[in-house]
Amino acid sequence: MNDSFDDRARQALFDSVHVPHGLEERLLAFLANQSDPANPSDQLHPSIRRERPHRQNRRRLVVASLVGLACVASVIGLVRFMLHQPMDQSAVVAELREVDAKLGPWKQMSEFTEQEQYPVPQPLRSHVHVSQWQAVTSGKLGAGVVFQVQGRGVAARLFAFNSAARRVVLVDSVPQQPNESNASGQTVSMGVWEAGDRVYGLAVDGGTAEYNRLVWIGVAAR
Amino acid sequence: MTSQERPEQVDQFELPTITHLVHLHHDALYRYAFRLTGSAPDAEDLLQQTFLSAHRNLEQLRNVSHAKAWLYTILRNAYLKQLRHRDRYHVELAEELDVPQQEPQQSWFDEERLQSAVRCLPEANRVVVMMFYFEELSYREIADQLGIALGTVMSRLSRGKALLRRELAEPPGSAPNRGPSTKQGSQS
Repeated sequence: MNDSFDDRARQALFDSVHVPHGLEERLLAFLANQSDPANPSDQLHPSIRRERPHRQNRRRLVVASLVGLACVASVIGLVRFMLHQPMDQSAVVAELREVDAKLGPWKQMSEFTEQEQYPVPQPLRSHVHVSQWQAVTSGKLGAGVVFQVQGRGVAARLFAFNSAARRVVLVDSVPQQPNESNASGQTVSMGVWEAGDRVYGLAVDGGTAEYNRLVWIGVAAR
Repeated sequence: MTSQERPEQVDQFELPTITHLVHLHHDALYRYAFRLTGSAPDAEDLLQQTFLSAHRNLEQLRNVSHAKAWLYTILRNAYLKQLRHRDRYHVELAEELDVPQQEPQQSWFDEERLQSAVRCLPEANRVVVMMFYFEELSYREIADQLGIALGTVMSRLSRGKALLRRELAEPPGSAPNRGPSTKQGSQS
């Protein structure tokens, strides 16, 4: 027996009330009658439990958000992984060939104000003439500049990109042997290298002979 | 069978249905309703209103473990709403209430006297007393829920308890009256 008045009073007030027989069934019948038959969520008995629609929706939204975040994270991770993969010589050559094929209108050198940032590298500086320029953008190398150059009767384009934009694994001077291509009916020999904080590419109109004439003959003579 | 003996329990993290709630809590709520209304038919009507309201607002129940307290609150509010309707006529209902049809039970107290004492309590006092005993709320919680001063709760409860104490004769050898010892903020 409880030893306090409150406990005994609580017990007396609670236990002494007789709960009529069939109360639960009558309540359920009443609720079933009150349910809106046109509203399935208002039904009393279908599957015995009424999930909250907005909570279900919230749960679905959370799951969908998590899946979406996971996908975005995966894509970002993949892109970052690919960006951190260093580009080797063949990849840089392929990229510059694409850029070379899509060049726009040239501008006069008088309009170029960043000569100090983009000097013509050695050994070309001494004997090539830079006539025009234009800004270029590469998906893999970032923003850069291309110059139209000439020397020893050979025309070429000299590309320059910031090497900090992308890891590259290249030789540190003009390569001896160019990568020759004849994809569009015109032979273009391409050499790529890294010097200082720049990635350079030299696209020479012609084969290896023209490339060597532009780059090396004068140098060798010295 | 009492709700404690019922085998079908709702997992705490599962959303309950109104069927579950009726199954688990109808008897406790009926007892509360009966003590408030003093009439078996009125108690059952009040219970119907309570569960109907619960059914229509089931999404408000955040935690199954709070279901009983939530239902008690709905029941009490429904009862107070009824009272406000009746209070327009300022009729003291004590004399008008039906005599409840109770099955005779063996008790250490006189059930009729107890119910008579409950019915004689002014409505405001009765609600406070029932919140204290059935919902097991502290003085502060009662004051907050009813929007009245703590001192008002204390005086109403004191008067209500005094009346119950008169009707619930202390059995021989029992301990002297003491206030609730387990409820925070409760005083006797």
